[in-house]
Amino acid sequence: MRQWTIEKPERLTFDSVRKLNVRIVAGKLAVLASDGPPTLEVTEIDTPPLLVTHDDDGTLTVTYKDLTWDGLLGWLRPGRRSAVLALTVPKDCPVNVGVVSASAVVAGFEDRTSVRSVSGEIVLDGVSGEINADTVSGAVESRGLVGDLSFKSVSGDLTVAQGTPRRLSVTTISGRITADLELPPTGHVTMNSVSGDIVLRLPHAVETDVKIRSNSGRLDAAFPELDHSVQPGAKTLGGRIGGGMASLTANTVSADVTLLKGAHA
Amino acid sequence: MSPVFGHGRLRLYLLKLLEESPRHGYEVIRLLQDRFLGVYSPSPGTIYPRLARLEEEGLVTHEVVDGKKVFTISDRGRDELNERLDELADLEQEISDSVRDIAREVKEDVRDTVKSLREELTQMARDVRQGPEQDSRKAWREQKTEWQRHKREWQRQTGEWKDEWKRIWSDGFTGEGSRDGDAQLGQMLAEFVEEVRRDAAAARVSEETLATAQDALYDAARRIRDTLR
Repeated sequence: MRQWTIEKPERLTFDSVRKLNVRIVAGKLAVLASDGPPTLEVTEIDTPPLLVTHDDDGTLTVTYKDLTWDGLLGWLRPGRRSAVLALTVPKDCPVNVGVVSASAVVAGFEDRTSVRSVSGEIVLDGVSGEINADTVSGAVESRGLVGDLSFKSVSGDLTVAQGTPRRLSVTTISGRITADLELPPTGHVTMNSVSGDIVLRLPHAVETDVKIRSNSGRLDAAFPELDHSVQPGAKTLGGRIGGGMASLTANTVSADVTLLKGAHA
Repeated sequence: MSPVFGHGRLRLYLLKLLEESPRHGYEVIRLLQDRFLGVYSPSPGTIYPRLARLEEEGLVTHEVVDGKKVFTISDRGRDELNERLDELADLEQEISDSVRDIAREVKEDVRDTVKSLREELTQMARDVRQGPEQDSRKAWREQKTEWQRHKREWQRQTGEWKDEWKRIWSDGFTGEGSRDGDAQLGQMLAEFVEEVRRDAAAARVSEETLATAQDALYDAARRIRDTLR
C-alpha cells in the first residue's frame, strides 16, 4: 500500500487502478475514463490535506482523513475545504464518488458507478453499467446513459438526455424528473415522487406497458391508447402502447406526470 | 480540434503509440479518441497520410496482417522518440491539462443538452395539456370536485407515503447498490419475452403455436409459484 498527503497542487500517476473511491467537500471534481495511465491531478487545495491511498489490490482512495461515507451527509464542519481535482482511470473501473457541495463530472465509465452528493451538482456523461446516484438537494444531469440507474433525492432534480435505461428507478420527494428515453424491450422504469413533477418523452414507436398513478397530480399523455380512470383518492393512467413489454410505472402524491411522444423515427 | 497537436506533435504522439506496441491505423485512431475522451477525433484522412509519411522517412515499417496494415516503429523511429523525450513529457503534461479542459467541455456540453431538452419537453408538455379549451376547463372542475371529495383520503395516503419514504430513505444510501432478487426476476422475465418475441418475429404464429405457448407458460408459472411458497 502506498500513501500520499496532498498539501499543494500536484500530479500523481499510478500503474494500475481497479477501483476508485473519491470523497471531497467543496470545489470541483472530474472523474474521466481514459486509456492512458491513471492520474490524479490536484490543481487547487485548502487545508487540511487530501489523503491518497493506493492499495495493493488496485483500490485508489482520495479523501480527507475525517470524511467517511457515513459522515458525508452530516458534514457540517466549519471551514472551506475547497479542492479542484481531476482523475482519469480506466473505463472498466468501478467508481465511487462522494461530494458535499462540490460539483462533479463523471464521464465514460462502464462498470459500477455510484455518486452521492449533498448539494453538489452531478453531471454524468456516457456512463453505462450499473449507476447509483443519491442526492439531497443536488441536481443530477445525465447524457447518453445506458444500463441501470437508481436515483434517490430529497429535492434534487434529475434530467436524463438520450437515456437508454434497462432499469431506471427514481425515488424523490420534491425533485423534478425530466427524461428523454429510448425504452428497450427489457426496459423497466419505476418512478416514485411526492411532489416533484415528472415529464417523460418516449419514442413514437415505443412498446411498453404503462401504469401511472397519482393522488392529486395531473396526468397527461400524448399516447391516445392509454386510459384515464378515477378511483377514490387516486387517478390512474395506464394501458399498453404498441405490443407492450417494457414497463413504465409512476406513483406520485401531488406531482403531475406528463408522458410525451417523440417525433417519427 | 484540440490545440494539443500543434507543431508536429501528432507525429511524436504517433511514434509513442507505435512504440508501445505495433498497431494498425484504425487502432491508432481509436486510441487517440479514447485518450482524448472523444473530444479529439482524428479522421482516417489525417492519420493514414501521417503514417505513410513516417514510413517514407523510415521511422516506421508496416506489414500486412489479415489484409490490414500493421505499423511497427523502427530503430530510427525509436531514436527520434528518445531524442524528443522532454518534448514528450511536455506533451503528456498538456494532455493532462486537456483532461481538465475536456471535463469542462463535457460539463458545459451536457448542461446545454439538458437545458434545451428541459425547455423542449416543458413546451411539449404545455401543448399536450392545453388540448381543447373547454375540455381542460371541464377537466379542471372535475378535478377540483374530485380533489375535495378525496382530500381526506389522500391525506391518509400521504401519511402512508411518508412512512414509506422514511423506510426507503433509511434503507437508502447503502452504497454498493446490489440488485435485489425481485429486480433480477423482472430482468429475467423481460429477457425471456424479448427472446421469444425475436423467435416469433421470424416465424408465423399459428393457433397451435399459441396453444403450446399457453401450456408452456402455465407450466412455468406453476413451477415458479411452487418455489415461491
